[in-house]
Amino acid sequence: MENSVLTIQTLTHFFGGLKAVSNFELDLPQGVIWGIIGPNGAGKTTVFNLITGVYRPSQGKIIFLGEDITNLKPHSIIQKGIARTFQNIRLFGNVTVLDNVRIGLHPNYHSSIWEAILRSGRFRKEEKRVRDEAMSLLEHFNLASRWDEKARNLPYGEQRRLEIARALATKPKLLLLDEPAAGMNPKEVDSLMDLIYKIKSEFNLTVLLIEHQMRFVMRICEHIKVMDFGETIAEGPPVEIQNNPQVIEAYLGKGGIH
Amino acid sequence: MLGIFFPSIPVKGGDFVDLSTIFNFQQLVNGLQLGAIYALIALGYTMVYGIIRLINFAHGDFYMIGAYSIYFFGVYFLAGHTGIHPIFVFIMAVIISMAAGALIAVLANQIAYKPLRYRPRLSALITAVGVSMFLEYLFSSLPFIGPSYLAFPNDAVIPRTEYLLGGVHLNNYQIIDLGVAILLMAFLTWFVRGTMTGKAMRAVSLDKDASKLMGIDIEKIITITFLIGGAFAGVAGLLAGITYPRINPYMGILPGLKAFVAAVLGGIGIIPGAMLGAFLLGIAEVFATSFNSLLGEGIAFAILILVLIFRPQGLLGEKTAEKV
Amino acid sequence: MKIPNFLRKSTVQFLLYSLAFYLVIYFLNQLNVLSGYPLLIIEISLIYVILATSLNLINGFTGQFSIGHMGFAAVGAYVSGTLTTLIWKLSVDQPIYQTLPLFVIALIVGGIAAALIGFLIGLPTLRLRGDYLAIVTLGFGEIIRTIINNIDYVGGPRGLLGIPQLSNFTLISIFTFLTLYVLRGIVFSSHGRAFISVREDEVASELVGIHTTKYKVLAFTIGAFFAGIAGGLLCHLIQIAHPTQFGFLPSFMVLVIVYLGGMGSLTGSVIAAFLLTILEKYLLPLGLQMLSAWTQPTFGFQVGVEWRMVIYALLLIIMMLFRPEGIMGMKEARFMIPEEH
Repeated sequence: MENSVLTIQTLTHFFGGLKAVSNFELDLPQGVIWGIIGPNGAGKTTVFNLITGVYRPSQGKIIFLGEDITNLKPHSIIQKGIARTFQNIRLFGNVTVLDNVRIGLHPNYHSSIWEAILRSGRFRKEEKRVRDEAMSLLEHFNLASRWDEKARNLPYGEQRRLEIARALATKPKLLLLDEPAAGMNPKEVDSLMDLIYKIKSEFNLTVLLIEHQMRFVMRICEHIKVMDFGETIAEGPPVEIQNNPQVIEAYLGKGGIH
Repeated sequence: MLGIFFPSIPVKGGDFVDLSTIFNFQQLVNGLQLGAIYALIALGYTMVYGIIRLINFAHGDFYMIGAYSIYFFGVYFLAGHTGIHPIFVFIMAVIISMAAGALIAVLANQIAYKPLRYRPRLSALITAVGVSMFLEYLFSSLPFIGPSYLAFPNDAVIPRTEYLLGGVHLNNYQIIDLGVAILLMAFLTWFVRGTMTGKAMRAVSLDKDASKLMGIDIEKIITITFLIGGAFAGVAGLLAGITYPRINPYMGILPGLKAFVAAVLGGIGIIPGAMLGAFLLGIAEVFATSFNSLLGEGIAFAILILVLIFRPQGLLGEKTAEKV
Repeated sequence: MKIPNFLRKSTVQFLLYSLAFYLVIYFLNQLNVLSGYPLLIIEISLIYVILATSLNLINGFTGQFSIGHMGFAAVGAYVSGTLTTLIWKLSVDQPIYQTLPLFVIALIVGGIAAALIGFLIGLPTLRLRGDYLAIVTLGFGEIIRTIINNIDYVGGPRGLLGIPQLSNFTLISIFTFLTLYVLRGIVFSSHGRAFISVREDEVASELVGIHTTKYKVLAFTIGAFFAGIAGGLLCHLIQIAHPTQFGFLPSFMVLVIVYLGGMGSLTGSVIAAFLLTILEKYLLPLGLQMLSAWTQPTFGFQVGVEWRMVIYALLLIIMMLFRPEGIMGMKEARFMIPEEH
């Protein structure tokens, strides 16, 4: 497709003898919010790991903004404009809230170590720019007042927000969210939805998310892929997916709906 | 005998080295003997690593303490009681050395490693180094031991007898070393496969959390692992003392390191791997030493580097990917 | 009187405290109050500050497992020692405007040589997990020592003797100050944060766009450079470089210092370096001597200096059990943190 942000072709991955992902295909247009759902162990996070270069796919191709990123190292892929969050939050715990975001700004930082040692004018300017940008991001996410605290001391919901803020610091065009609503109550989930809409339009993003909370997924995603045992068993708009018998069976098992 | 298969090769300077002086049955036996001792030490390393992912730097020192326990047994007991049948003496020595190794291992775990169980791995590693240094320097500083070599009472424990078998010189120490090692390895294999505790040990090394959920007492299993590993190291100290009868507080450093390499070679955390790796390393070291003594010292480290570069999971290991 | 803004700046404070320290010691020395052995202890403490802070960059800030640090110091010592002693044949009798520039060049060449080795040793970090890396760094340290032991040109097992005493309190102080200034500059910058991210969560760091391999290798290279400088300063102070000075035991001592001060705290390394050097060179011999005066008549044996190793090992174990973060944890003194941070 023409304005496809991410194209995935015949993506297959084995862990030893286990086929974790089987022929995954994707044609992700710019500016959408799409979702991947499926029971635990379906291979959803593995797909994210393959996209971001954590694993090298056994088979298949991943093309981002026209460029083949299949075999690139993670940090290169991130620098090209893909950012992600994790199922189990992976913040830099002993580091302050501010510094977590400042680390996210590092890939776009240009002063060399020599300039850091000599504390040159350019260095000082860049450090100020980084600090200001980081603070501004924190304000966006309502975390500015906690800038000085260690990330591991933050309450759960704020840690999740911080992880997204850090991901945005890398200036991505594509944002991968892995179970962003995990552990949230309905009110928090609504806030999260608003947050995602807000950052999508403000930062001009395309969003691909993995989620289990059905209410959330059905409302926010324009298009959903359903995985089970590594295979894609259904794909389409939420309305179709909700009524798809195969999907229901995958979640609830054979033997009827209760 | 094997010299038939290895022709002479030209070496720098125009001399021909007869490879059969290196690769022959005699050296093979020597290698297996050395490997037997390495195997007993390596098993302790690999079991502890398998169960708590800790490279117990102090493990070589459990071996040292096993040797010293028999030194004291020989000097303070055997010297005064000379009429005991050698079989009984040897059995007592085995029991004492295993007990000493087991005791110190369990103590080290209880005092130094257990409190750090859920802290970052580097802390436990550094602490293991601390335990190792503590034991070595303690023994070295105690007035009745001291840092210099002491003569191990191997004659008192079991006198050496030579045999000649088809042109090859053997001695009973070789048979004892290999015999004891094989016996204990067989026991361990049965224990790990056949008993509930053994299965629990395997379970904990595969998945600690799931084991906990199955009702397994993790700490008890860890203690038992240290007990067995320490006992094996202790008896290895006895065997080493008999075979190379000079001991000092630092005698555990090199064998400990080499046993670790053996465990990595076979696949760290895998019990058969430790056995395989140890025998291979023993043979390699003996062959390398007869070729060039410097090479003999460095071969263990060379093997380590090669394994870590080309097959870090070891010969019997499987490649695992980290879960993200 | 209101403190002028200029003096509030932490960098200025850092400079002033350092200067004050130097001047106090200098004048005490001039007045013959502080000289000889006590001054030597201070000079060695400063060298250990360089060793500890450089190791801290690798282990504390970047979270790597390097336990053969003195191997780098050995390279620095032998390279600089070879230059001054064997090649240029410098001596303290020569005028200082001749020897000083050459000495500084020798130190820096030693540092660069060490940095190269550090780079080579950093490369395995690409593949190796923490505990394996520890074994490899330990092994490399031993290999370096063994190689030096076998090079007769630099004295082999006898060591490199007759090194001119070109180090002095002033020079050591300057290099220590520069080391702290540079490391402080690196740590409190975006690059420093990158190092720390590798320590905190290497996978997450890579997935936030940090080239973790580059930073790990960089940590080793920079850490090795300063260790090399320290090695050079040391051998030109005690006039000898010997393989035993750079084995696992001395590396272990530097490790204890870094842990005692706090992994991830430059200030902590400074404090701990002084504490442990004074302990080792002054308090412990004194204490053991006093203890022996009691044990000798009572039990019939002396408490020799070998016991100090037992005490250090015990100290390390106790520290790991009860205060693993060391004295300072990851905190720094105010003046250590640059004002723009």
